[in-house]
Amino acid sequence: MTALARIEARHLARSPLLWLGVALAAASVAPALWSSWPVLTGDDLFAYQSSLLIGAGAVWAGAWLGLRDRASGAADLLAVTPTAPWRLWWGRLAALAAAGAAGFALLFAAILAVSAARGGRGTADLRLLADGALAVVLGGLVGMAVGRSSGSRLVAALAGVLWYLLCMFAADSGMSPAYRLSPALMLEGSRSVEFGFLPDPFWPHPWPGGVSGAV
Amino acid sequence: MASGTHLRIEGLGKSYGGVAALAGLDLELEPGITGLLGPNGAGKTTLIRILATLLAPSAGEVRVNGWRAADAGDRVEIRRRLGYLPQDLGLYPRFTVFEFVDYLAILKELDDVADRHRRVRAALEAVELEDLAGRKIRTLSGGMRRRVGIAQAIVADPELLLLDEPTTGLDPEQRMRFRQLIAGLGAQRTVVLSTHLVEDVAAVCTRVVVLWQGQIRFQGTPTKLRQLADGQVWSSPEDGPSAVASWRTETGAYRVLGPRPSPAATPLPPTVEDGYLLVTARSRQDTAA
Repeated sequence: MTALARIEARHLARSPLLWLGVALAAASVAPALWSSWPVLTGDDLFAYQSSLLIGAGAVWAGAWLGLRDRASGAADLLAVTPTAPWRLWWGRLAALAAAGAAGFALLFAAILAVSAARGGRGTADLRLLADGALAVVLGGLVGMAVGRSSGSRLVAALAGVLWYLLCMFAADSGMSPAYRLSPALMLEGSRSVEFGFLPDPFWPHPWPGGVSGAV
Repeated sequence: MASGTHLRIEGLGKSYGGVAALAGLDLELEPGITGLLGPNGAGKTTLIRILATLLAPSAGEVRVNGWRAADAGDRVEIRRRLGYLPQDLGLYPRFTVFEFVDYLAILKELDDVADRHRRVRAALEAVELEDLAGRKIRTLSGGMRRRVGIAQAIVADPELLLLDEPTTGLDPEQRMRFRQLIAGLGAQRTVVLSTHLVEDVAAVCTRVVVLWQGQIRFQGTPTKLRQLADGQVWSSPEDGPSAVASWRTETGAYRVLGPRPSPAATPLPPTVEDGYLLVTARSRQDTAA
């Protein structure tokens, strides 16, 4: 399924929906980054927060991927191949994860670069990168499930907006998105409560935690 | 190179909400090209979809080389040998022609990249789309899309090829090339061609099955179907009152299918279409009776 994931990833990398999320995230982070000049610490947090909006874009891109077979009428062609549906969907999920995470990593790096150019620290906590990437991937997965089950473009569009609002609400309430989505992840005093998606075992050590999370 | 399959259908039935689309079909197909003919609603597409393992029958069973379509494990084996062109063809509009056929080739378990790409190029060449391999599907005409559909159906060199209305949207020249392609493929494979275009069947099929209201009303060679109309086709100055079908030709005379319409009528050599029209007319009379 690597070949299939590669084709899908190539298409997702050109997906206007995913890039809409990246553009919205960049537009929303830019004023905050400028207004808090000079940023000496926490610039990676600005970058991290952009994952909320890129996640919405991933929901849209995932939803389109989920409903594409039905919308295009190609479902029959796929159904008569010997490939099991779960293998097809794993390939698509892998592609979505790769494209979504790459989109977030790109913006993350760009924000840090801008911050560094303006006198900020410009260094990244890789765990935040991994955490944000997971948020985007999770958004894509939710979108794919919504698209596949609803088969409706309208529902898919609303799902992206709802995803963003939920994440914003959780962040504004001082609670992590993961807390809202999975109360089981909420452990008092853990970083995942603060930052969301990267499971607790990844947090104690920045480098191994970040790299493992990213993988 | 594919070697064809033995397809066996026994007591096949399919109902939609109490309405029978297929009723007690028995059929055996060997390598060669079988044309499925019948009016709209005869059950052609339902039969093709059951053979393609997309629909489960309400009764009876389908076996391909002994594999039972009803068995999940066997179904995968059948799908490994299957090429399918649906009547309502859906493609991914944002994919290029090459990408789409390649995508289906991956799902058909062609894992070796070099071999797969060679096969994709060969399939596109067979339908004369090699120059458009890099074009987005959304920019293609209906006929070109149909050819993409044919390319994906043949890309994995299937032993069993199911084509539902393959020539819809093709211009006369493309239809002629399609016939050449199918005639070549049918030499080694079992091809089932569902169509309402009798001339396609007459041109390439080695066997014809005529369906009427979910039942087989004729099966045999195109020659036998044509021979059913021997002595029943006339050129006549007047339309016969008991004609099965008649129409005025460019000479001003009527071409009449049925009993001799008038003493002045002269016999004409029948066509496969005449035979088909007779079969459907008799079926209609049987149903009315």
